[in-house]
Amino acid sequence: MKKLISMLLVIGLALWVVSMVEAATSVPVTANASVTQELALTVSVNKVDSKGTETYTDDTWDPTPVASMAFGSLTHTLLSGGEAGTLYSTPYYYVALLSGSSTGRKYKMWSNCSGLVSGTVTIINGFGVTNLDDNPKKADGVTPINPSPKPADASLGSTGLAAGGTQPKLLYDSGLTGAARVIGAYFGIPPYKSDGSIPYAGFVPLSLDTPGGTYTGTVTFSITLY
Amino acid sequence: MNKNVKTMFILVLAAIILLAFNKAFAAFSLSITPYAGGYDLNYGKINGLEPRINKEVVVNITCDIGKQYRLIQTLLEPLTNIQGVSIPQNNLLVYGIRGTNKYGTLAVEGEVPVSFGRMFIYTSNQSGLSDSFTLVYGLEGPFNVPAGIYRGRLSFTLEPIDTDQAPVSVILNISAEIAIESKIEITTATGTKTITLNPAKEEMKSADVLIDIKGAMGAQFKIIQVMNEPPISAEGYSLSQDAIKFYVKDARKGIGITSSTSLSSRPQTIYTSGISGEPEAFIVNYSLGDLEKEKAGKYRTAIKYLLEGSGYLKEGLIDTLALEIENAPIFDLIINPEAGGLIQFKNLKALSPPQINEVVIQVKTNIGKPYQVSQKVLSGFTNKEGDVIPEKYFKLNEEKIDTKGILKYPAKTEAKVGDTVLFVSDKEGSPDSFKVIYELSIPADLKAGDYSTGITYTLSEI
Repeated sequence: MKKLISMLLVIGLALWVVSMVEAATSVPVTANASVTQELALTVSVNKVDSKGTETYTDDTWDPTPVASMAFGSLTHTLLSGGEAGTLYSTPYYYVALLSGSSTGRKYKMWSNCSGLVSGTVTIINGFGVTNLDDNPKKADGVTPINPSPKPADASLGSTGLAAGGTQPKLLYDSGLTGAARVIGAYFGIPPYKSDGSIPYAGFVPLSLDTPGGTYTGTVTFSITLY
Repeated sequence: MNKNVKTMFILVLAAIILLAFNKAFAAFSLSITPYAGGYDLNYGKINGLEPRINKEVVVNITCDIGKQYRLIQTLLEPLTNIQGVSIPQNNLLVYGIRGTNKYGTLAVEGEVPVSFGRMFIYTSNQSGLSDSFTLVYGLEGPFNVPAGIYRGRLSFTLEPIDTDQAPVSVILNISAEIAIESKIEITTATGTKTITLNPAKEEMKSADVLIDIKGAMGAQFKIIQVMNEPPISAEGYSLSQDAIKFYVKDARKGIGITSSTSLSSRPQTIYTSGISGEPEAFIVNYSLGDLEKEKAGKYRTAIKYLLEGSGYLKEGLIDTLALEIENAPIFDLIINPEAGGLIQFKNLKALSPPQINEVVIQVKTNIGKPYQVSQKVLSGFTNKEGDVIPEKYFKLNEEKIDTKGILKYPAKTEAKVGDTVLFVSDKEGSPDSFKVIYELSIPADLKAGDYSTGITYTLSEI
């Protein structure tokens, strides 16, 4: 009798399970995401109008990327009419947006320039990395390009002459996480500030005795793991 | 008058009387005798098993008029039943058996149909000698006439040539009983009286009904189909007008509906016979239309087949077949990711826009109860090293596709790990479909590799 009850219980349970199956149906689906290992650097250069001021907040960006940084004719006369004491370009400068990614491996981004050349004359001074920004904005000037803040151990390089040394110039160190990041590297040939101070650390004025001519050069950006 | 003259007168008178008497009783007669006996040409019962029945008739002509004569046959009445239906003349044929005559010429040594006109059967020799011969009357099918007794009459006239001798006529009655029963048999291909259809079984998505017209009906007729009422389930649901289609195939002598037509509660002429209502067999194919929107259940009705014709045809119900449609319960969830069988985000890059992947979700149901669709994300996207793409990078939103029910996430939201109800059907539990749009981006520091998770979609009654 006990066995019979057990059997009936099993049958009843089986029927209940069957009815449960009829009332619902499930479909499993696998979701995949592939992330290919890469070490990538993309660069976009935009022309920015400083409007002759020394603050960045009122600057306006031309949203169309450019292929070269053309600074036009340099001058040594200030807008106020005074002597600048250096050759400089105004009111435009250029921002190179560098997007580095390494799929989680620590990396550094660099720039390199061997100077601006005209015939036999090479100029090193004046042309510099005037500012580095680890959280540049989109074209609207408000929305950050990077979705998250810079990792704590990540760091920007330093301003200074773009062709100021024998080694490439460090622009950004990702830190241990190797998080992909977009930084802004500002290139310009600015004058002294209105208060007479240097416009960026590492500034060296371009001599007023620099021979006239059209000077061209190349800025090379690179990314390396370390 | 002397005695000699008187005697001579008497002798001459006697000779004249004798000659006159002799002429008055000259032999010129005809007898037509069926070989099988009797006075009529009786074919007896014809059941159609033999394609042709021959009957012999012995013709005896006695003639001593010394003049040529001929025998002429005329069909007075074709074989006709009491309703006036006649066996076509071409079905009754005659020929004479060569050599059965002695002197004259049989004109029907080759077989010819028996016709209404004067048909020369036999011409005697110049001397008009008596003769006899045998004629064979063949009655051959097909007998596209109703069953019954058919009677006809043949006239034989013996006509002398170039003499004033009166012709002699004999009538031969003909009879035949057509015992081929005219009837229409209707049965399913499986021999039952129930047409059974079931959309879940390939072999039962359609069914053939054989309509066999046995024996000729003798006149044009129609077969009309009437469905008593739309098929109704025990729960009281009825199938829509287009749920069942039919068409007629293999009709050769008549005309059937050969295009797929919806079965209706109104009378539908499915077949119109040829003019004589010839026998034939054809098939009515019944098939299921789209039952996706029909409720589950066992639907029943009946189809009546009616005969409609003119004249003596017996109109009315031929037969009734039951019609059963088993519409099994359907409660299916169909997931169609755009990448095929899986949701795939390929070659994701940090700082790039999110990748989009769409999944179309379709619910097929006929149970008539409300339901919901939910998803269970088993985990975050994880690689083999255990690195996980954080939940906030995986998002979803939903879009309608002629959707009747309610989408729970029309706006973008995090696709969280665990159970999430995506959709709730309308109150009627209508079949429905909608789209889930998944969006995946990756953190800037994500390591390269293959990441995966599982998503289980569940359809359940509520």
